[in-house]
Amino acid sequence: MKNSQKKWWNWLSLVVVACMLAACAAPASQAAPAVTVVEKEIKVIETKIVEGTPQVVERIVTATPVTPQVGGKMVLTLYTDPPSLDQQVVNGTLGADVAMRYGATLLTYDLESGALVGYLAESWSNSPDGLELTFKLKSGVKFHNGEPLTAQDFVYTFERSQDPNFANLAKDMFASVSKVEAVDDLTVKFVLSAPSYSFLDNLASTSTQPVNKKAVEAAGDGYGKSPVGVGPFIFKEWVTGEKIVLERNPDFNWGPAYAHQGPAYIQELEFRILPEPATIIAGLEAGEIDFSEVYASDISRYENSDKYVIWQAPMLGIYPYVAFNYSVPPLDDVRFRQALSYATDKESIIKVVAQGRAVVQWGPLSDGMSGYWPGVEYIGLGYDLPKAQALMADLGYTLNADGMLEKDGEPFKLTVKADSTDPNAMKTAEVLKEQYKALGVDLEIQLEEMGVFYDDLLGKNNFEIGLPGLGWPNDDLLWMMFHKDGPVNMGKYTNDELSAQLDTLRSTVDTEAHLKLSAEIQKFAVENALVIPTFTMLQYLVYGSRVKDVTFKAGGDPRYAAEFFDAYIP
Amino acid sequence: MKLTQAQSGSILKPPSWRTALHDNPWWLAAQMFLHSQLAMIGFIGLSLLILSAIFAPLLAPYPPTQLDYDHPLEAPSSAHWMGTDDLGRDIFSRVLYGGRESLKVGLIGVTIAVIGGVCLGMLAGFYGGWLDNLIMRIVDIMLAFPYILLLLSIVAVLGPGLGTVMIALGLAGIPFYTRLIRGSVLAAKNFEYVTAARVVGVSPFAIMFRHILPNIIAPVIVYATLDLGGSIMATSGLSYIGLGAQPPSPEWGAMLNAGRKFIMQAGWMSIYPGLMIFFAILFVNLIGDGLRDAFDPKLRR
Repeated sequence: MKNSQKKWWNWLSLVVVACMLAACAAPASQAAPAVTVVEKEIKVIETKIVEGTPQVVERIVTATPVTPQVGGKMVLTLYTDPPSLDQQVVNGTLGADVAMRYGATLLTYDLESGALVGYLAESWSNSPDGLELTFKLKSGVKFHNGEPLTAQDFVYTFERSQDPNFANLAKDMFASVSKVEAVDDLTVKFVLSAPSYSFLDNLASTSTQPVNKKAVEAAGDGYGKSPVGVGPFIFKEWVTGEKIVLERNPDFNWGPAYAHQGPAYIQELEFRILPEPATIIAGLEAGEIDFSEVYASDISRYENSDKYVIWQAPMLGIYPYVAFNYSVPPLDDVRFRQALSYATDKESIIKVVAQGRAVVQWGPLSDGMSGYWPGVEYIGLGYDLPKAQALMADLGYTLNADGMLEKDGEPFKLTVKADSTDPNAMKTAEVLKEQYKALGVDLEIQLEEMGVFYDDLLGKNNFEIGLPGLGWPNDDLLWMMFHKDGPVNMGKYTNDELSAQLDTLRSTVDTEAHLKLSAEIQKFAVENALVIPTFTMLQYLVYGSRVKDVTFKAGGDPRYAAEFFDAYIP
Repeated sequence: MKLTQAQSGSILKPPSWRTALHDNPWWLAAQMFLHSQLAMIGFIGLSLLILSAIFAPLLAPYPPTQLDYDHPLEAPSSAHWMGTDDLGRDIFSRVLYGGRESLKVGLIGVTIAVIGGVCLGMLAGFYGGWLDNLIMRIVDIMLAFPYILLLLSIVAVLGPGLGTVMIALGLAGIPFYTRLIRGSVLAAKNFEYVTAARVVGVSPFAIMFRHILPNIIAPVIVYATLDLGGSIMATSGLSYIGLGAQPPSPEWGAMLNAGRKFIMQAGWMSIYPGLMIFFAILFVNLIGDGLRDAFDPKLRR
């Protein structure tokens, strides 16, 4: 029991709210090119007065390359204190955006192509059977405590994550690894128990950052409060409830190839802990905050101002979505779930819940995730109330005098649970209540505090319908959601045939075969209405234009897509 | 000594109804109350709020939970007097319906507290001894918790919802009334009319509720009225943090909470429910102050 508690807490971290992505700075959406704002040419329109006649002269000025200067403080925001800043514990909701600044990963995604490139790794190779991955490390990399980075650190990093008494996300990222070997000081070998399609992606995730044994042992239990990494910024201080401060690492010269080689330019990063969106808005407007995620509802304030730069990206994952408890009648009946799907008017949900700033999501994966099958758009169950009513009639439900459905003279009621800290889920619940009323289904909303909510959905299986959210960069999410042992299998979907297919999916390394199988599974999920996806929302990040050359990778949570290797404050 | 006509008359003849009325403290209090301008403002204002809540289905232009996907976050206009919220619902209609929730919960919560407190306080004060000790120590324990913390713990145990908020308000309020009543009962039970009733053989129950209670109830009424304001505020507060009204209930505190996210962009979502809470509590407190003055013999000319 104690163990399973730990287990779900572990996954809770990966579950939910708007962001997740334990790490993954950017997803492997290979096609979309990354965009950088580079000022190369400036069009200047001058008005010259020549002999009393105004004359407009247009000329093109090539901006002289600015040498970025070192210094300045950049203020970012966090909505609450992370439980820990330990690399292996932080998750996409809390802390990973700090960890990715003071730490570094073996691999990362290229800014232009989105392909995996080395960060701490100089190069890597894969054995023919796909079971042994060998990485050559860059030399001269040093932890902030002065220790050089060696292959032994990766051995320790892996072994530390396997401690059953240590709840961490790295363990899940290393799930397919059976052991890690130090071939020599700068060569590390990962031995896998089965070929894994997503393992290389996991090595670009914050959770798999190397941890230094001496640093951990020196800090003891306090490591989560004073972490040590190999990143471009050094952890300086953490004032609980107020701020987390990182400062520039002057020794850093092992950045990925797409960034300039050398230390970052910005002297200090200050993450202010600000739970209230109104405070953030006021701070952005006063110029006290440089960089923050902003709700879609507030984005219009910034759109027409040159004081700010906006970055937007669709969320990766499925959020919010309708999860069913497959063992509770009538939700065990595929026709009933389909009827509810047809009664869900997703476009209208987008209008009021996401202020129109979202696109409809048809399947369990969102567009932009690696492995996404675009075919779901054609087979997705769209809004069709007559079809929903016909399905209900098939199932033997009749309308009573109040316009509600009943079976054999018995009216029924379904309870939908939602996380009371999640405004999108709460609002979606309110809209669904009205939409299902039109079908004749009485939905009762029950709000629960986040911990209780996910315990009910994952641990206790104590719900009928839930409105959770999951963030993940690739189609491994299918395994997690629908495999009989899946860690976020809400409602305990058990189908041995599907589970076998999902196992095959995980170990199919060949891209074409992998995508084909992934598409089949997504089709199955849509046709059987395993979940009702709602929309893929856009996540927005606003930063003050005084900060130059912030780079963003395509897709994913903007907080993780942003990088400050080249950023400077003139 | 010879009695004068007038004196004998006053003794032998029953007093006229007019004289009796003028001697009745309740009549005097009512006079005092009716002549206080502030109290009357409170009384009329609260009556209007209660009436608008009762007749909400007739007055509200839209159903309170009807969504309008095409008109979310609209500013106040002739179609929507107080604008619409993020889901396109009419705020004016919701505010009217919300009164039903907020006022009802406050009233029922205080009623539970008064009834519970009066019963326990009576028993403790009248019987004394171990019963008094037992009740008052439990009361002491409950009073040792900060009020809002006690409310939160009760709601946390019973689960969120307006029903549990009513019970929580009632339970958390009982110790205050118990204390108030017990003190008054201790003083009153030694008065001659109580001794007289005992001598005649009136049952203890009848003494408590027919003889003592009417004589000590005035401060309870004043306290309860002032408490009503606090209860409405506590209800809204609990809903604001998500422990009270569950969506889509238009309870004022819950509406205020929903508007928080849009305060920069659609202030009307928070302003109107906020004003309703403000006025409801203001009116209740004006009435409470008026009642306190009215029942206070020292202020009577």
